[in-house]
Amino acid sequence: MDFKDISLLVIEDEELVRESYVDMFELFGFQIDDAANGQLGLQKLAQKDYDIVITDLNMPVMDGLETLKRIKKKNIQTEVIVITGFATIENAITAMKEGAFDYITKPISLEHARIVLTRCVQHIEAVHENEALRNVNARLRQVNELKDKFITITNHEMRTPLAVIKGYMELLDLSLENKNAETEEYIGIVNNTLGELIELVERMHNLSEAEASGNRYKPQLFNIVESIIEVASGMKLLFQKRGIHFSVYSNEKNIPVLSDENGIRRMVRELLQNALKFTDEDGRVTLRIRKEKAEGKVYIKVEDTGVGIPADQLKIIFEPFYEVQDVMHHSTSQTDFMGGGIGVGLSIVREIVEGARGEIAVESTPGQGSIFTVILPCSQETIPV
Amino acid sequence: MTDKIYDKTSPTVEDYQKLIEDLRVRLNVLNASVFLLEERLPPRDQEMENYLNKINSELEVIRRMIITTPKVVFQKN
Repeated sequence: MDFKDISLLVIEDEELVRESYVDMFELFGFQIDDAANGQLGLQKLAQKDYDIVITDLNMPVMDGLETLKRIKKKNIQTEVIVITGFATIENAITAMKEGAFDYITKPISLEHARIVLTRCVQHIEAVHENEALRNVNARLRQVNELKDKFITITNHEMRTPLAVIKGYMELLDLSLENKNAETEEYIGIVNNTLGELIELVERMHNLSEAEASGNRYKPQLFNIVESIIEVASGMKLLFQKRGIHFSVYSNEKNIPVLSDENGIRRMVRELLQNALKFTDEDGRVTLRIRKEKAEGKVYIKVEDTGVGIPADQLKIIFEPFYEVQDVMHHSTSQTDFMGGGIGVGLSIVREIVEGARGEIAVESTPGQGSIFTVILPCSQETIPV
Repeated sequence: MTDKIYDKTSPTVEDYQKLIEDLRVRLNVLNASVFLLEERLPPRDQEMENYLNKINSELEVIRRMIITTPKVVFQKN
C-alpha cells in the first residue's frame, strides 16, 4: 500500500523513542511531523490537518486521552492510534471508546505497526470513497430533479405555443390567394420545421410517460391477440399508403395475458411504426403472435424487410434518444415521413416490456431487414370468448 | 445476429443537452423561415398581419423558454 499521500503526526514525550517512531514511519513512506507532548501536538493540528495521529497515552503536560478528545472535537475525521504499555491496556480500551482507531502496544513491533497503519489507511480511503459516493448521489438526485423540471417546461409549456403557431400558419396559408413558388417554399419549410418541433415535444412527452410507467403499471387480464389485432388494423391504412405488404398471424385466437393493456398496445404500435419507418415501398412487414404452451409464454414478432440495423448499433437502439442518423436507414427523408423523431420509440418499447416482466430481442441483417421479438408471460386464467 | 436487451439505462444530462440542442436548431430554422416568409409575402391585409404577429409572439415565448431553461437545468457540477 502506498502511504506517501498520508500525513501523520507522532506525539511522544521521550525524544529518543519519538525519533525511533519517526524513523520507522518514514520507512513506511508517510509524511511525518512530530510533537513532544499533547499540547504541542494540538498546536501543530491547529496549523495543518493530519490524516493520522499516533500518540503515547502517558505524557506530561497533556496526556494522550485528553489529546485524543481534543483532536476528535476539532476534526472527527482525523484518525488517532494510541501507543500504550501492557500495564495500561485498559487505558487503551478507554481511548478506543473515545474514538481512537486502534492501539499499538510497547515495545512497537514494525510488523504490528504496519498492519494497524495499513488498516487505518484503508479505513480513511473507504471514508473518502463513501463521501465521494454520497456527493455523486446528491448530484444525481439534483440532475434528476432538473431533468423533471426540464421535461415539465419543454413538454407542457411548449405544446400550447406550438399548437397556436400551427393554427395561425394554417390561417395565413388559407388567406394567401396568389402564392408564388418562393412563398410556397417558405411556407413548406415553416410547416415542416413546425412539424418536427411538435414531434420532438410529443416524443419527449412519451419518454416522460414511459419513465413514469413503473408507477402507473396497471395489470389486467386481457386477450393479447385481440388487442394486437386492433392496433394492427388501425395502422393497416398507413402501410397501404406506403405500398408495404402488411400481414398479421397468430397460432391462437385467445391468449390471456395479465399485464397493462394500454402499455402493450403502445409497445406494438411503436414496433410497427418503427418497421413502417424503415421499410421501403413494396417491402413486407409481418406481425406474428405465437403462444408457446410448454413455456407459458407468448412471442410477438415484428419482422420487416427494411434497411436493417448494423451490428454495432444493435446494443444502443433501445437507449433513449438513439436515432439512426445515417440516411441509408431511412426509406424516405426525415421531413417526408414522421419527422424523424428523437429516437425514444424503442426505449419506450423496452420500458413497457420490462414493466411487463418480459424480454425483448432484436435480430437484424443490414439490407435484408430486422426482427423484433417480445416475449411475455401468459396468464393461467382464461378469458371467455 | 441477435442481441438480447438486459440492462436499463436512464437518460443522462447529456441526452437532455442533445435534446435542447435539437430544439434550438429547429427553433432557429423556424425563426429564420418565418422571417424570410414575411419578407417575401405579397402586400398583406390587417388580418394576415395579425396572424404573423401572433406567430411571432408565440415564437418569442418558445425562444425565451429554450434560451433560459438550459442555463438553469444544465449547470455543470
